[in-house]
Amino acid sequence: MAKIAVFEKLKAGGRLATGSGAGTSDAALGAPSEAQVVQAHGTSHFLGHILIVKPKGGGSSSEVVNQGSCVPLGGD
Amino acid sequence: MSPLIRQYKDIVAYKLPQGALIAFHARNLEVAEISEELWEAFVSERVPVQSDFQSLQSALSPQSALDVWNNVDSPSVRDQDLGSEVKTLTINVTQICNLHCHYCAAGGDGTYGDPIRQISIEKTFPQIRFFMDKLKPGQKFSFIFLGGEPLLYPEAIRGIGQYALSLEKAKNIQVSFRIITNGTLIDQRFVDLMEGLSPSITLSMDGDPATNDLVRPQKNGRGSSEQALLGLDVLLKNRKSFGSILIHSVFNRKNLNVVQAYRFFQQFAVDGFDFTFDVTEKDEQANLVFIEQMKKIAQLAFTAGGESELRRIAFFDGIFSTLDAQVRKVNHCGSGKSLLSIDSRNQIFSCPLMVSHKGEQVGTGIELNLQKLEPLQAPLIGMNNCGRCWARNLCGGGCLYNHKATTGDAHTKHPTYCDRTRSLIFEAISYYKQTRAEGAFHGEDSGI
Repeated sequence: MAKIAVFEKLKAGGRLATGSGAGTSDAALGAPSEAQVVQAHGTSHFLGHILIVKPKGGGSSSEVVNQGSCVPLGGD
Repeated sequence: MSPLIRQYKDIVAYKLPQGALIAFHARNLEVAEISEELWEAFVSERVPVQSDFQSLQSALSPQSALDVWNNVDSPSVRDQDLGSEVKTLTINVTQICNLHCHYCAAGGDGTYGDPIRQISIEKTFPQIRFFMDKLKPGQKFSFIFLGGEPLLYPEAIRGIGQYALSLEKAKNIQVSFRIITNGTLIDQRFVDLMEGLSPSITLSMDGDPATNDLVRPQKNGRGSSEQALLGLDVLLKNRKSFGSILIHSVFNRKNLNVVQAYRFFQQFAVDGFDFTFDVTEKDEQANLVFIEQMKKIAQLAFTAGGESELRRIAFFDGIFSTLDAQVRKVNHCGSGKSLLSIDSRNQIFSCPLMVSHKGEQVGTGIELNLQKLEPLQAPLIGMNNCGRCWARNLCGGGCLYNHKATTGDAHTKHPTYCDRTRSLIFEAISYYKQTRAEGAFHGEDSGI
């Protein structure tokens, strides 16, 4: 239910806080304050239909990158 | 009935049973919630792609939105860069084992079919120096000690570890260690030997004692669980002497009860669980059961403790980590690139699972066969023909050994591998969306 409300808010107005380089001033799209986590990557035209969640940053340890998930061989 | 999965170019969308609509942009690693109108646009005729955003000011149709989202490149995402140096070595300090696991990929008995029993520490030192010398100050280098059962020769772990630490100080390189063990030989003497190394431990156990004893018996046929659990107890009582402690379990058609294993292991204060599917298993029904079991433990974990509990399960942690980092995982692992494997004869292979495969040997001692390594340098998603698969940048093209074991060709994926990987990646994405959107949509029902 709540997610529908989010789209309705977007359609109804309020501004969308867009990501860097978004460069939007489209008042019709707006930005409910909750949308701090919504990152638009270049344009806001479609934000009435797509809500991109914002990554936390960090992550991807070198261990994950190097190993995959393979090491226990059996016989270990 | 409408399909519950739709794809348009680099965007895939799922309709969850509860109605939530989640989309993923494969190239940009973006997770989104989409409107019902956009969901419908996946199957309706789209307007021509327009690259000029200004001209789209008045064209806010779902079809346009889909095209625009597909065509825009996110500035914050980049390809994984493994660098040009080896940063992880796996070392078989032994090639013998005290267990006889039914699915053993090391020749069936931990030996890889080679009579050599243990590594020469002295022959290993120059290899360590050779690889660490190539690093710049501040870089990281990790060692993974394998076997056989590496704790049959803990003095080698200590000797090699101390040598690496001496180089670490001299070269200002951050060194870390992990030991993959069946746990049955962990005792106070082992704890004392590891002093100063603070190794992380991966303890292999495939479920509760009754299950584990069936699939991981000792060579005399008796179960190994009692000793493994005693070993785990020693580890947990000496927590400060070790890095992270993980339990790793392998599942196949003979053992598919991931939920039961997870519930059993939850009583132990370990850092996480790595539940994997047997690299040689290709049974479709077993694959489906494993997928469903993994989904169930994800739900159990998330319900019990949200993201932190879910991320104690290694697979989900890996996907969250990649999405947070916004780094396209174009290689499943660093095999042959940033990771090499040394066997007990000090021969070098591209992967720990390839040890004993003569054709896969890429060096000996400090001599690397660059001709053998060169073909491994390209991104795996290209070599493995992942094409436009929406999961390619989270999967990395999959495990070459797994592909070879199931299809006969390292670059040809078995359908069960892709089905399993995509299903579980999508499960992870669904939870990711829920956790990362929480700050914005309090009380929202994500439909998971």
